[in-house]
Amino acid sequence: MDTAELLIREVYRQWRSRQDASAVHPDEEKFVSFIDGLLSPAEEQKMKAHILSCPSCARLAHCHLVTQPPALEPSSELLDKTRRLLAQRLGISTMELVVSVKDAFMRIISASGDVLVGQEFVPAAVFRARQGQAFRDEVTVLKDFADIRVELKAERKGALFAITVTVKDKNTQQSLPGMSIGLLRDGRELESYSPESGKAVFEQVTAGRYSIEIASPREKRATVFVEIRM
Amino acid sequence: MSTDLEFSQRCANGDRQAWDEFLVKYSRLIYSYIFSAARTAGKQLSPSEHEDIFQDIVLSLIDNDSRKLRSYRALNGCTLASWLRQVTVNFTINHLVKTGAAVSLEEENHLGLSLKELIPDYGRLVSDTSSEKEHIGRLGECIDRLETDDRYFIELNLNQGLNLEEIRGHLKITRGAADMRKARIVERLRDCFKGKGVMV
Repeated sequence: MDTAELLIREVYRQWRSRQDASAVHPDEEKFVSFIDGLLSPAEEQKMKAHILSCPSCARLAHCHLVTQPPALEPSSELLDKTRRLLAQRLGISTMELVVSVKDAFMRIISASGDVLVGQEFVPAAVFRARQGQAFRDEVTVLKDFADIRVELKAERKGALFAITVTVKDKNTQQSLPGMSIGLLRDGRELESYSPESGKAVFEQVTAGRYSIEIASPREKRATVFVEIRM
Repeated sequence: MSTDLEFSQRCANGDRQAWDEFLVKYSRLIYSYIFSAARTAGKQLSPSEHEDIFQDIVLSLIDNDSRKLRSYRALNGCTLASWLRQVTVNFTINHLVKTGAAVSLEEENHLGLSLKELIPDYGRLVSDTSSEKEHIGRLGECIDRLETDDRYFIELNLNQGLNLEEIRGHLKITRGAADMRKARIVERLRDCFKGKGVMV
C-alpha cells in the first residue's frame, strides 16, 4: 500500500467510526442475497450503506468474500449424534442399544426400552441399577411407541452379528406386515425388507454404528440406533 | 413455491425423512463454513469445538417451533444452501465473539496507530501545523463527498484488505474496470486532500 492509500485508509477508518451503526441488521436471507448479487439496485445500495456503518455486517461480508471454504466432511459419529438429538427435539420415536463385546460377553452400555433378562423384560432404568449384568451371546430389548412395539435382538455369531427387528401392533401383539425395515450406516441404506411376518433379520453385520428405520407405506414410524463395540 | 422453500417447510414441520435428507445434503456445507468463518476471524477451532458449533447450528434451526428455519422465505431466488451459508457464518462469528475468541472488526481496525506511525512521510505531506486530529477530521469530508459505491469499494479494498480480483468477482465487473475504479477514487481523494492542505 502506498502513502496515498495508507492515508485514505486511515481517513476512511476515522470517518467510518463516526457513522451511526444503529440501523437494524438485515436478515440472513437479504444479506446473502446481497453477497450473491440477487438484490434490486435500490436494495443493493441500502445494503452497501448499511455495511459502511455497521462493523459486524462488514465483518460478515468480509467472511463471505475472502475465502472459499475447503470441502470438509463431518464425521459419521457427529452426524449420528446430531440425528439422535434432532430426533429427541422433534419428538421422533427412537430407541437405542449400545453394546460392548469383551471377553466373550456382551454388555449393555446404554439402552432405551426394556431389556430381556432370562424370561422377563426389565425396564432399562432398573437394568442399569443391576451393574455388571452381562450376556453370553445375545441381547434383546423392546420398546413401545405410539401404536407399534419394536423388539430388537443383537446376536453374536463369531466375529459377526445378526440383528433381528420385529414390529408388532402395540395393542394386539399381532405382527405388522408390510412395514419397511431398513438398516443404514452413515446415512446410507445397506439392506431393507418389507416382511409379511413383521420380522427382518440382518445377517453378517460387523461391529459399528447403525440406524434402523421402520416405516409404514405412508410415514416413518420409528428409528432405532444400534451400536456394537468390539 | 420453490423446491427449497417446500423442503425447508417440511423440515420445519418436523418431517423425519426431510431431516435425514437435510443432513445428507447440507452437513458438509455447514461443517466447512464453520471452519472457514473461524479461520477468517483468526481462530483455529479444536475438533470438539468445531463439532459443538455444528450441532448448535443444526439444533438452533428447530428452536422455538423452528422459528429460524421458518424465517427462510426463498426471496430473490436465495437458495437454502446460500441461506445456510449465511446462518453458519453468522452463528460462528457470534459464537467466537461471545466466547472472546475473536474481536469485532471495529476493534481490529482501531489499532491505535497514529498517522505519523502509519505514514513515515506524514510531516512532509501537510502544509499547515494544525493537529493530526484536525487534519483527519477535515479529510473525512472528502470521504463524505464520495458516492456510496466508491466508499464501499474503499471498505472492501483498503479497509478489509480484499484484493482487486476478489472485489471484481463480488461486484461482477471486469478486472480492468476494478483497476480503473480504484485509480479514479484515489485520484479524487488526492485532489480533495490537496484542497485541504495535505499533498499525497
